Amino acid sequence: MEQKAYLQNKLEELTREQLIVKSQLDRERLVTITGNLIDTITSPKFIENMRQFRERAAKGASFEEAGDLMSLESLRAAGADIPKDFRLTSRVFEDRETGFKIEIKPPRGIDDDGMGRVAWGACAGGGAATVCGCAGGST
Amino acid sequence: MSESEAATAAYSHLAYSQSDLQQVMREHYAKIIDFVTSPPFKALMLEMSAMSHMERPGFVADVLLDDGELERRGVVVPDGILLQRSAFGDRRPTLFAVKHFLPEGFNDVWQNVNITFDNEYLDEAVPRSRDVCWRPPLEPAHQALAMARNIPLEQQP
Repeated sequence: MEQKAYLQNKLEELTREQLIVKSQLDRERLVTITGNLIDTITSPKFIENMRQFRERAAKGASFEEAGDLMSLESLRAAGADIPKDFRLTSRVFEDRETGFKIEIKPPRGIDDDGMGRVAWGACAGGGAATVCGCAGGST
Repeated sequence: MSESEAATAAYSHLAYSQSDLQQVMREHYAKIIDFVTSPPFKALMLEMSAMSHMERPGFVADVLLDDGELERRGVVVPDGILLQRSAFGDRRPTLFAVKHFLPEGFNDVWQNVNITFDNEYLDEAVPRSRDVCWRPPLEPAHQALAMARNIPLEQQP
């Protein structure tokens, strides 16, 4: 009986996960998220600050200088209309050719607390160099 | 200044209009969306979603970034689309991104568009403030290792 209940739980968990993946990767949802993002990051205030950031970045701008132009606080102060749930942060992409190669396995003896077993988040972003403007949505 | 005057002024430094840039971004997002909504990619994501959050960074390293493993699962990555790991200054637990560079002539402000997949996190646990978001990001491979070991990314220097 115990095994039957365990299998039933696992089946329900997998069904929930399938539904979440289906909803995360729903075409209409992604078109809406990315469309909203495009509207935000191409607005005049946003594009002007980002243009200035790129110019400074080409000369070796610091993170402090980047924050002066591209933090949510500074963009909103300049009048940019940015959704409440928007994220704007520094970012690096890995170079697959030169990136570190590390074997990644969860070590034995560390309990998986179950977080993240069900859901993961999808985030749409428009990025350049060390900056990525992202909109929605983790579950 | 009206909205259209503001747009004209902001875009006067650029060789394209706001609507041109929006159109190019939409076209490149459409390519990414076609890929991530394809049945083989969805199956791959289902496979990953059944794993714990600690196992997923390893799956990304061993499968998503391995051309042979992708091929074995029927995932064909179209020309121009890149699968990459990344890390954010705000330390959100990100897994990988599906990215497309914008074409020459439209990449002097925004360089790429991407859809990024994260491990789950509580929205309120990752601040949006400048002091948090504009820190140097971690090295992506080290961030992946920390996630696999269940080490909070905020504890990483």
